[in-house]
Amino acid sequence: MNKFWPLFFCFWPIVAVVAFWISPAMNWWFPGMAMSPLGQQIDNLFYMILVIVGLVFVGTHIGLGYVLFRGVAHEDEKKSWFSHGSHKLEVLWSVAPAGILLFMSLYQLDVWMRYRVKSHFPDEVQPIAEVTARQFEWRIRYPAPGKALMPTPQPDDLYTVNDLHVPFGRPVMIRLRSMDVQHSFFVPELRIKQDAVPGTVIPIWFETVDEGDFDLTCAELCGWGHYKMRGRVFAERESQFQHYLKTLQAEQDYDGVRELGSTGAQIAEYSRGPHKQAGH
Amino acid sequence: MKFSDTIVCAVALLGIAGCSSNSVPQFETSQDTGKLFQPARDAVESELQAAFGTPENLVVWPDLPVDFGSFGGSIEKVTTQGTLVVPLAGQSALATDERLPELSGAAVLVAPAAGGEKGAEGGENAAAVYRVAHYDPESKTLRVVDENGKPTQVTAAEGDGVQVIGDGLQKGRNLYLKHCMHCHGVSGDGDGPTAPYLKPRPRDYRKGIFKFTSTKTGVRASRDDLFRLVKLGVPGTYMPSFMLLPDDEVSAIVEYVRWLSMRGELESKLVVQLALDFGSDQIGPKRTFADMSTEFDAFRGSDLPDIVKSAGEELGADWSAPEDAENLVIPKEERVASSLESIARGRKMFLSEKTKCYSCHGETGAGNGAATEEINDLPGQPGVKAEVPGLFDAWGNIVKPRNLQRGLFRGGRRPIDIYRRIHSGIKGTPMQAFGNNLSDQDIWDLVNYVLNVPFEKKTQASH
Ligand code: HEC
Ligand code: HEC
Ligand SMILES: [Cu+2]
Repeated sequence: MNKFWPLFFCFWPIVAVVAFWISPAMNWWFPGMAMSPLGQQIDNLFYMILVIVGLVFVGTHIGLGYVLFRGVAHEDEKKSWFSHGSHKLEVLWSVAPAGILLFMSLYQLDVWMRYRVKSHFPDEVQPIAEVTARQFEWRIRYPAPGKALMPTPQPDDLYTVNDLHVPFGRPVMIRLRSMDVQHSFFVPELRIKQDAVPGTVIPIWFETVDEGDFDLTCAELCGWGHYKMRGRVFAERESQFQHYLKTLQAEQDYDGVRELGSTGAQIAEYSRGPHKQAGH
Repeated sequence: MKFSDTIVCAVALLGIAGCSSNSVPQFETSQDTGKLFQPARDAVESELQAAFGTPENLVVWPDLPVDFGSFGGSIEKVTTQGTLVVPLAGQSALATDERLPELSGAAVLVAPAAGGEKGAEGGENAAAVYRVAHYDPESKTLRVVDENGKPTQVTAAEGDGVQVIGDGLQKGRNLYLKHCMHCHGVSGDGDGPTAPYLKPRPRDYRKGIFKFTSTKTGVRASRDDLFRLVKLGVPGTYMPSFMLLPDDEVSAIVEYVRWLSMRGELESKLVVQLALDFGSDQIGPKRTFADMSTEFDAFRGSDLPDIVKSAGEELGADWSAPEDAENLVIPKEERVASSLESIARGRKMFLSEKTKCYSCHGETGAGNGAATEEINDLPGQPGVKAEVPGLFDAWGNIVKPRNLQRGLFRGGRRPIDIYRRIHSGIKGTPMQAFGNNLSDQDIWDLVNYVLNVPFEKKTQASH
């Protein structure tokens, strides 16, 4: 019975380590592989921190277990030794974590700057769309094909909603705004999360490595319909993206004369794609 | 200790009871129906029940131009009573294979194989009606129950035809309850739980009026109109976009919305006929409840069935019309290119006495025209003045003419959308149709002007 507490305290760290170990296989891990180069680097940072923290965790618990077991094994009533007030030890356990934290903060600077600091954005990146969050949808404005996105709406801009198309294989930028309250543009698979703040325009750049569609959700509790605020980021080939813009443009210039056809079918054409339908 | 346990139990029970009674969706009768005297109210309710059923138990009224969804197969084997082996293929437009397990409740018609023995016996190939209790697509077994949901014997043989009817509407109902009900209400009365917090209010479908349509004046909304609207949402209002819902799901919801509209219309058609003679406020010393009841019984026996029948025919005609290409608003001339001249002509037209657009939308299009400050007639009651100044829509809500400077178009921003808004007006609102007075050229000029209003200052400055 006197082994109960040492066993108890060893049991939980083992559970924790096992849970971490099996979680990638159990799909308790990241939401899929990072689909952007920067996202992969962010994952690497995460792993680095996990390794450091994991080593410390395992090390301290082995130490703790050792001390506990030794304590119950010793029948003799030897007087305990208290480290309280040991100057050397205090310096050691203050300086060592501080050093580790300093290392981590310096090590991640590069990724953070590339993600957030304008002067470190990729050179060629241009805004391709303005995404305006509103309760409870994402309104999207593209410039006309071949034109640059202007800060204010232009007569030939193209509009859509909840369905952000981007080309893959090159960095792209969107300008994020909010029409009402604070929202957050969250694309887990691209490892992007950025608040949309009323009154400001926030640039976000990202690069998707392959075609695919990624869930876009709002990550800021923005009202009763927050849970409904879902969209899709759809990465496609450059040529397909240009074709998409042309379709949007043809649709938007439609004057009802050129062809009679069903108006519903047209919009259906560009809301459909060779991908899974995001089930709402 | 024991005492507090009992309290906890009682509270838990209350909770469960409270939940379950709420969670059964129910159609509500309109306010106007509520003003009828009791027997008339009951009659309206029972007619609606017969023609449309309840949300739990939908009824297929074949007179209505609704795609209820149906598909069929022929029986391979009759296993035990109530269980048939039928490969159900050739699905309807609205149902897909994955949805087959959701069929439960849809009606099943079992028709004896043509020319078979039974057909000869039964004379007119009489089909038996059941309901789906369960369908397992893998083993292709269909378990049916009778119309009241009770186990039943099936008289069927191999080779008999099976028709499943109403699966499309059911699918629409399920999706509607999930995505739309909390705003538009179970009965489509625009009064769901979130509705009180929204402005403008969610649409009440029961009048059959939709604002943003591609059809001529007086014609209902087409399936395509509703499809598009649900996909894109109504920018500038709380009506969200359902862009990412698969097309077949949107189509099913649209069918259900149309069906709800028809239900609401049937209700008001009946009430209009009954309100004159059988309002509860007409009971008095001269005409007692008993008098009225006798009159009503006679009426119910003789006139009511005909009224329902002709209402059904009207609904059939009204709701098929928008699907007819003849009733779509299609400009004869192509859009006039948006030049400064065209915009200037449009502005002139906007400010002219011919259109009086300015009287509502204001001279700069800011939506602050003089009409918004005037006392106007109440909707649908010409000559009856409202108590407060402003413009009213058909549902009795105040509507503001659009502020065109914001460049937000609820019914879509394509030139054809704006053309149609001007041509047939915005249905159910004071903005009437201008199609009869204006030429195509005039309307296109107006369209170009309207689309340019948000950029007005810039175009003028650059001049
Ligand atoms: C958050 C509340 C909300 C939800 C959810 C919602 N709507 Fe609406 N809906 C509205 C509001 C508000 C309007 C009125 C817009 C207006 O008057 O301009 C509207 C209008 C409409 C209209 C009328 C358009 C017209 O031309 O008159 C239709 C049809 C409609 N909604 C269908 C749906 C369907 C179908 C769903 C579910 C898939 C749905 N709505 C979900 C709020 C909602
Ligand atoms: C009697 C008042 C009245 C007059 C006259 C009027 N409108 Fe309107 N208009 C309205 C109202 C009210 C609305 C808003 C309807 C709604 O969505 O509820 C509106 C909406 C609009 C819209 C917005 C459509 C959309 O999709 O959002 C346009 C464009 C428009 N009007 C143009 C015109 C033009 C052009 C004229 C003249 C040919 C005109 N209106 C005349 C009252 C009027
Ligand atoms: Cu949000």
